[in-house]
Amino acid sequence: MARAVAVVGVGQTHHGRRMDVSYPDLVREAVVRVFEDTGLSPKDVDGVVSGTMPSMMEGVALTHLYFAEAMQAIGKPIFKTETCGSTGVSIAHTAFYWVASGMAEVVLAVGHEKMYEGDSQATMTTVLDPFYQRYFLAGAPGVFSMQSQLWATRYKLPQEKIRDAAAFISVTHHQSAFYNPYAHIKMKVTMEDVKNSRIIVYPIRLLDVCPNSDGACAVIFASEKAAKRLGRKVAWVKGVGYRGDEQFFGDSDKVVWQSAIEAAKQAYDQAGIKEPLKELDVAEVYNPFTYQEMMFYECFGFCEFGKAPDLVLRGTFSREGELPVCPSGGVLCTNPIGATGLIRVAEAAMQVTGRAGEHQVPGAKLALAHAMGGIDQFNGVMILGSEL
Amino acid sequence: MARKLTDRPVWIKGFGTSLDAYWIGDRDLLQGQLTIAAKRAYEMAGIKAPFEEIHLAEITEPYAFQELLWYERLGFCGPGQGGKLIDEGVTERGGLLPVNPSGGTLAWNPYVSRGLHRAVEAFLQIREEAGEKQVHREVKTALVHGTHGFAGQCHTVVILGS
Repeated sequence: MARAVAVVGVGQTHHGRRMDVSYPDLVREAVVRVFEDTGLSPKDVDGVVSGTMPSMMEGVALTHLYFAEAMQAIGKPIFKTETCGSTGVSIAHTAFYWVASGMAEVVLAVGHEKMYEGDSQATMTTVLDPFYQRYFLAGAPGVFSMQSQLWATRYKLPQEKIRDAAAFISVTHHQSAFYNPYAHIKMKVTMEDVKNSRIIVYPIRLLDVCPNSDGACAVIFASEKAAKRLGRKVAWVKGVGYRGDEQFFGDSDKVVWQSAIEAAKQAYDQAGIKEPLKELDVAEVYNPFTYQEMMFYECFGFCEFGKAPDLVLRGTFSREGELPVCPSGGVLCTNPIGATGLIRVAEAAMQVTGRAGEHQVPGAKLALAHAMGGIDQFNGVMILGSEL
Repeated sequence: MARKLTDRPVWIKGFGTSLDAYWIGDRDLLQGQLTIAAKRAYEMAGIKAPFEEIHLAEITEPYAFQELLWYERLGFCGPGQGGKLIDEGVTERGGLLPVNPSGGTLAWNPYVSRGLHRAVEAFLQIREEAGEKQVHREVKTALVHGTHGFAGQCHTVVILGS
């Protein structure tokens, strides 16, 4: 790995339905907060990286041009990295590499989305080629349902067991969201509520699924020299990994999912992690769908393939479990897509620096952040730790 | 790694990019950010006198007048002097500082890849592999330029060298 890089501070908007602000002001809210958090000012920033969903979402192309003022980026070098759902992690990687290379000391990463001004499912259709795939793969629920059923069939998982495990996950995350001031959906749900909510695409029901959210997230990455000058606990980037699959869905296995497995493996290797379930204290996994979340646990080596539902029902991944997953409430409760991956990074950084407030996992030292992009096409991972 | 892949690598000697304000009324459309982007690239490459030290330039000029403006902002000549370089044939293929022997963006403009095309053209010139487009002077140092956004809201300059 190149030179050491840390996340020195974060800023998030209050995610939700933000008809009270314009899109630039939504972005501004997160950017102002990261400067407040770190005590840095725009003049300290050497470069800016931003990203968001394809332009069809809000009908704005080249958002980095539109948000020059909101991001305090005038006169600064700017990069844009966009990988659909994994955008937030991709911009974190871009900022990390920029500082790690020695070409910048301080980089601001900004992810954002204003989904109440757009149509997420319609936008996602434009991700798929129009000749072969768009008609039957377009939109997230159908794809993730197909993927989940493939998994259940392969490992002969009884429908009732995965149904219960998914509901358990939904209840856990909805509870956690109450302890996160920035989370969008704050709703008391029971196992019965989840299992009886309306069907979206079998077996996925309404409470198994993320909301559309407006939100932005800003994270500052800095070199060791710049981080030490701040005199506060920072979150060191211990490992990164990113992989992509083929565009054509049928060309690779989405259960033993190579892009997820290899992205995590590269990050683990760089971080020196051999037993993720034991060594990680928190995992902010990209989890817009409860069923798919369990598949990520398996691909990331938290358990063997086919075994995730058992561990879920034993409470292994609950807030007091061996490896708390998404104590922030996760994507299931908050999903401003362009920001979501970066929020995972921000939450992981907050955990290992003891700044997660009411949803702090006590003593957290090593955290995983992850996001998936495209139609099950890309996966990106970043490991953050309290020690250099 | 570069030396493993080729015995004639072309090095990235300098890089600079800069973003202007979004709202047109808040910008100076003639000054812009190109000078700042170029300055960052020149500093990194150790270039103090661009007109003397750069042997060839491939710049992104979707409008003909912008080529003249970019000459000035890149420091090839003083403000308002861009036309002189044309009159004196300085930036022609056989001139002191050939600009866009490829035909540049005015010849072809695939918007997102056009900057990369400039880099490829400069690379080929340095390696003397530009075929009919080849200029007949030694090109050791080339400037590559890209821009996007209205009236050049964002500029990027790269210096390539053998």
